[in-house]
Amino acid sequence: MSKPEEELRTLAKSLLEKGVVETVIGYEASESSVRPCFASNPSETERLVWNRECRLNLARYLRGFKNKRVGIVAKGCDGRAIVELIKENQVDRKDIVVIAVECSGVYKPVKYGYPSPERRLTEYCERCLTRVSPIKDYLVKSDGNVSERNPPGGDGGHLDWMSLFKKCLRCMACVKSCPLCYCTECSIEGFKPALIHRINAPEELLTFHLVRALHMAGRCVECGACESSCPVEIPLTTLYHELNEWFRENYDYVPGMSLEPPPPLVFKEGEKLGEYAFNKK
Amino acid sequence: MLSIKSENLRIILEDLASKNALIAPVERNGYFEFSRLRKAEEIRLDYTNARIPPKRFFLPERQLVFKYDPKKGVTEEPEDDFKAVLFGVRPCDASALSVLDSILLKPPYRDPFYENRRKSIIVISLSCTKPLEECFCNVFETGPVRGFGEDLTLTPMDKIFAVEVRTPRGLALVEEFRKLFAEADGRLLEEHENLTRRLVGEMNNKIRVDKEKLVRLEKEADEAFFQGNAQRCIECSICSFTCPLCYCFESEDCLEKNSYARFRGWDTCISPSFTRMASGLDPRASKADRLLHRFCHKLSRIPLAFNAYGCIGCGRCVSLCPVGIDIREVLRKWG
Amino acid sequence: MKNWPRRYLGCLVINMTWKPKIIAFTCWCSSSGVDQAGFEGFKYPPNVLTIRVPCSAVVNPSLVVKALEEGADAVLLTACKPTELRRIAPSRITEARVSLLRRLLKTVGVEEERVRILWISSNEGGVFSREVSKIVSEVEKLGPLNLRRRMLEQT
Repeated sequence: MSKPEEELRTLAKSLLEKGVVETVIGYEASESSVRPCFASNPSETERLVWNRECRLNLARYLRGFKNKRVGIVAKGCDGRAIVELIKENQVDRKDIVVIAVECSGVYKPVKYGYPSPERRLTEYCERCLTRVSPIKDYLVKSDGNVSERNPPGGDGGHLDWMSLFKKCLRCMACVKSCPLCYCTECSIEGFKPALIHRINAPEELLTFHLVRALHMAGRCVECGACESSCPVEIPLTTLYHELNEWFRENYDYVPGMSLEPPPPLVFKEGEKLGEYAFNKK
Repeated sequence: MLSIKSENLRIILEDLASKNALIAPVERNGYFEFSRLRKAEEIRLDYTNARIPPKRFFLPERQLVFKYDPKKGVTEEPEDDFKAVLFGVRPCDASALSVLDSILLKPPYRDPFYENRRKSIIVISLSCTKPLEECFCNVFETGPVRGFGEDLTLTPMDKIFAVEVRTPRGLALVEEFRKLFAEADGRLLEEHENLTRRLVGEMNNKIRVDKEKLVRLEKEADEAFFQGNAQRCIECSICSFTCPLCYCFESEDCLEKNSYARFRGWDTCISPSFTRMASGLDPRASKADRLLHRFCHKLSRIPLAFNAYGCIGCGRCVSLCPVGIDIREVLRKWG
Repeated sequence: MKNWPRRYLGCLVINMTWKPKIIAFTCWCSSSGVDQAGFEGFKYPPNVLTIRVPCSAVVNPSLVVKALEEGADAVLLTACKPTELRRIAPSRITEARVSLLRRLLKTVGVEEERVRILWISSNEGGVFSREVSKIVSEVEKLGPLNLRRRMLEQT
């Protein structure tokens, strides 16, 4: 058991014993990998682990704990998701206790039928902007290289997105595992009046992915939960990164880094006209 | 039992591919999948298993049921001509087809679309020589060497394949290429037996479950066990979509200007709206209820009603579930 | 003609020139500008189908994507100039949305010139017809989009 794991378990146990929180959301070991864990008793905190398989974004589970005090283990990207959720009024800062863990990246998942002899960091971890959560109540230091690094530019333009989208099964795993996709009636799930049908029609797959990208633009924290849940390996994080680059270039806004700046496309009255483009190409 | 040399098998595959009648496993985009091929050289005979099971050819993701036009009335689509040879299916996936036969083709309600596809696709299975970590086909006796739904079983050995003919349709295919097949000699039969024994022994060492006891899942299972799983479940549909045996479907009417077409496609009982009725009543409102239903249906109710198990032990749901919900846990507890 | 084999008739269809189909979402004020173009006899190509909306900011980028998927070769948004409005937010929102959408389309492999904004006031029928004629000729050069066919093609 490594030092960060020990520290994590002690911390979670004391939080539960003192009654600061009712549940601690963390990761536990499953038979071949890691899965989310909900510890409500101090004894259950023995199951908590921390390693490079901790891929899923636990902030996704916060929507099931409204009005309850909950502690959550957060990597850098998880913390950014929590910040965005607070900005969008989905999570109350008073209700959560963020246990930030220093993350040095997670491995690409090994999935059915494609064994991988060597484990590599995921693509989105190479673009990591903050290895420690921007909001934290406690900090668990971890071994491994945690220095901040300038991310390389996105290269989403080189992929053949149309053929990648054609593989999609419309399983909705990307939508359901995303912390920021909290709409009860998702616009691309086929609820009537429907933008696209509920049953997967191949000609509508482009609409599905483009609409999802538009809804994630400027909000996606690039945690990669969508990409690691996808059974047909569509590199969604790369696409959303391209749109986040647009926000960075035009509004100097990076989602999830701090609670201060409001979401960018919210305009206040009385703003000066400023530069404008007339009949721009 | 017959035998065929690798080169002769290549000839058969190339002949089928040239007639555009071959669907075989290839490696594409980071995983293996079944694809209709024009050239037989792309086939990966050493593939592990396809992520999307071959049920996608028998129960497609989206299928036209009928069209309605005010001028012509209801026009049922003519049966589509989907003749093909599905080559390289693993024995577990092929057994899934046999289980689907007993469910979907049980008189008096036969699924005409599934029946049509089943009649026009010939299934050739390829035994596993290297089971995956997630495999547990020995529990349901669907592999690793022979399943129970295919027309021909091929077992790869050193540069030669042992061929077992399982149905008259498989025999007809063998007769078409009779010159390329030979009778299996005693040595090959012995090797085949040794291989079967070794592989079954390997699988039995990994997991051993008394599946007859699974019937008590229905009576004894409580929501508390599934509560842990239910908290994690994110209600995506990966387990149902990638399961070779899940057959639930939903219908949707797609409206055009003056007409509409009814399609049916994949659905999942894990979805929150699966049992939600127009009045708002929902007998399986909680996630724990739905997970309990899923496991009971597969492991206890299908055996009681159709005399076959609703799981084949391929391990896709185990490996592809994003949150680690594992049917093997259920098997170990109640089996 | 009825007895001709199908492939001859097919060739006839292909030889007929493709004409671009453009959808224009016109906001309230600019749609009166568009009407005016008709009144005053400014000609513009008939390939443009206008859909009147109360304000350009009502147009969700998802609708633009849907229009492209359903068969439009280009989508145009006409909006009121911010200098003429009491509130500037709608124009900013529209501009930002279209710019974002263009970036997304460029990434995915669709030419970004297929989605554009035109700033038209209610008396600028002439400007509208001039710009639209230019746009139609540009789209003709870009060629048909055929998103449906591209998604249905086998890889």
